[in-house]
Amino acid sequence: MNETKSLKMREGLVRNWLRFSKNYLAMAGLFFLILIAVLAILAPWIAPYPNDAKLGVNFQKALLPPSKDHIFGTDEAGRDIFSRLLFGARISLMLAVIVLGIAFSIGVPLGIIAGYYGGAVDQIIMRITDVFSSIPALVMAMAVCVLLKPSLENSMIAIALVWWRSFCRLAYGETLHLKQEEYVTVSRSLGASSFYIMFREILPNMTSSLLVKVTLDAGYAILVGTSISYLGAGASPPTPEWGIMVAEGRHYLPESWWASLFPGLAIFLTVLSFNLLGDGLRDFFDVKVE
Amino acid sequence: MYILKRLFYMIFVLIGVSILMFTLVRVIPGDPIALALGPHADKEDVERMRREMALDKTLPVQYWYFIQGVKSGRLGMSLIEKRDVMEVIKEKFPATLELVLVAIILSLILAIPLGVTSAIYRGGWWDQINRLIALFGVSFPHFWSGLMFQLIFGSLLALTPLTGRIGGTPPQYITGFFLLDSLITLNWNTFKDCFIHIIGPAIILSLGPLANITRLIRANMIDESSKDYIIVSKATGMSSLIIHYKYMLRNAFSSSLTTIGFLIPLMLGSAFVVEKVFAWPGMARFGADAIIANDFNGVVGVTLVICLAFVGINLVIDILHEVLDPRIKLKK
Repeated sequence: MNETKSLKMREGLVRNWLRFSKNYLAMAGLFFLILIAVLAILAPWIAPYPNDAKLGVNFQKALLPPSKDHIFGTDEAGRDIFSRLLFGARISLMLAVIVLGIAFSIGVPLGIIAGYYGGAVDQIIMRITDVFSSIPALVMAMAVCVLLKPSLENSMIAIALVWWRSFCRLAYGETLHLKQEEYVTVSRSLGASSFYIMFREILPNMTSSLLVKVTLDAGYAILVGTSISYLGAGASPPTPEWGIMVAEGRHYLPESWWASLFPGLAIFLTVLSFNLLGDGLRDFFDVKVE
Repeated sequence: MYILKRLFYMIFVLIGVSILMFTLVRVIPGDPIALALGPHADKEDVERMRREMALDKTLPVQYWYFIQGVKSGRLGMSLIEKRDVMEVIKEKFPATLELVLVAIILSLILAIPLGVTSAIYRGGWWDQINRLIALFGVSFPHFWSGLMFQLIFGSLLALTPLTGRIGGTPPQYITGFFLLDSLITLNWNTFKDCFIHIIGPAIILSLGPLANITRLIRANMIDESSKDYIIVSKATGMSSLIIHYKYMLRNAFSSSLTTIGFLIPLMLGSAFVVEKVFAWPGMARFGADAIIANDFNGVVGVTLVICLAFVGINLVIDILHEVLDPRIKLKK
């Protein structure tokens, strides 16, 4: 009995995968993301100049154009840009995970509670969310980050403290709609607790919307994070953070274009990959997530 | 009644944001005054300024003073500009608004035909290309695309200036929008000067909205295409150009309005980066500088303006909806 069930499930998974894998753009995004993640994890071993991720200053090699030794050239302190980009990938992916992890665990429960209970609880939670939503994420995250003292870790915390609002709104909208479903009414009449209904009945049924949201937001969070660093409110040199690298490289434009071109390209490709995948998932699950 | 409710909501959000930002910027550790006056400042000067800015009072009292100031059109002293924030914003806001408006017009001009044709040829190669363009558009970090624009069009091709809002003398002040003012005074050279300055930052700022609006128009056009009136129109042999651009687009655009409106405050946020890159002398650049320099009155002032734009646009959209689609009654 159990065996046929698991077999059926596996069959379903395979069929879904085949259907999803027809979306070439989404597959390209997925492929790139896996590549970036692997490169990020293996950075200490595959980076040609692992010490350049730190302070390794070598002014004799400053601002060398791309060559066989340094495929993306070197920066103003003579550090290999390719090596620094590999380490930067760790920072950007970590930022996405931490920001979305915190924002998710604050926003989703709040949204479900507001949608489920309605009335005064709804009003209080959602009006606070409205206040947070009326200022662009970048602006508020920057302000919070300066307040906490500019650093990479604080920029992650600051973005997360601003980001929960959009998860809250999504979970709220989904809950309003899902709590009308019959299985919720049945559960309730069978005596299930509110907690059970909210997190065992309603939450699992918004998985696909949340998955799409997380994928799309990962790219967006990286954009905000690198922008904050670029403006000088986040990570500081010599951290191999991509936004900082663009900011440092811009002083040497237009002659040493590689110093700002490649770090920016890395940001763009990573964000684009998340967007390609997220867009594909959105089509696949047929959900409306902005 | 509905409008009243909306107005009440507007005021609620504004007060909420002002309290939130007001508290946020004032719990900053360290001494912004000492920082602003520099390391050689007299201790007495610091003390005096702190008293003048009421920083020795409790938070609620400071907020009370702030509200009193707002009533008489003052937002408090800016530490970096050394004058009242309201004055700074009045001077710099037109530059930012002009940039955002040019950017939104640019994105609409491109997004509407792209969205409509995408919907008509849905699933085909043209639609796929448009999808890719849209996904590209929202993936650029503004600071980098701005720098690359400067590198290619400013340095390499020498077509546009690298930074700034104008090269020569500004046009006579009428609206504060340089493009419009130079047009009104028929000053072609100034107009050209302003145009080549604004085009770079405006293009960079328009990439995201262009992508969003294209996708939105496409989705709403597809929603419209299955409605009865379209099927009937097609059956009567009406030209598809008229069906698509006159009837469907009108409804599709009307349902896209809400999101387009939401894009404007979002663009004011993106302008923080774009104005920094292009040294655009607008409010957003001042906002970014204010945040970095702990200029607390500046931060509160700029965020309040953005928030006001946000709630104000919401209200305008509600009213516009009724104009464009009489089926929606504001009483609802």
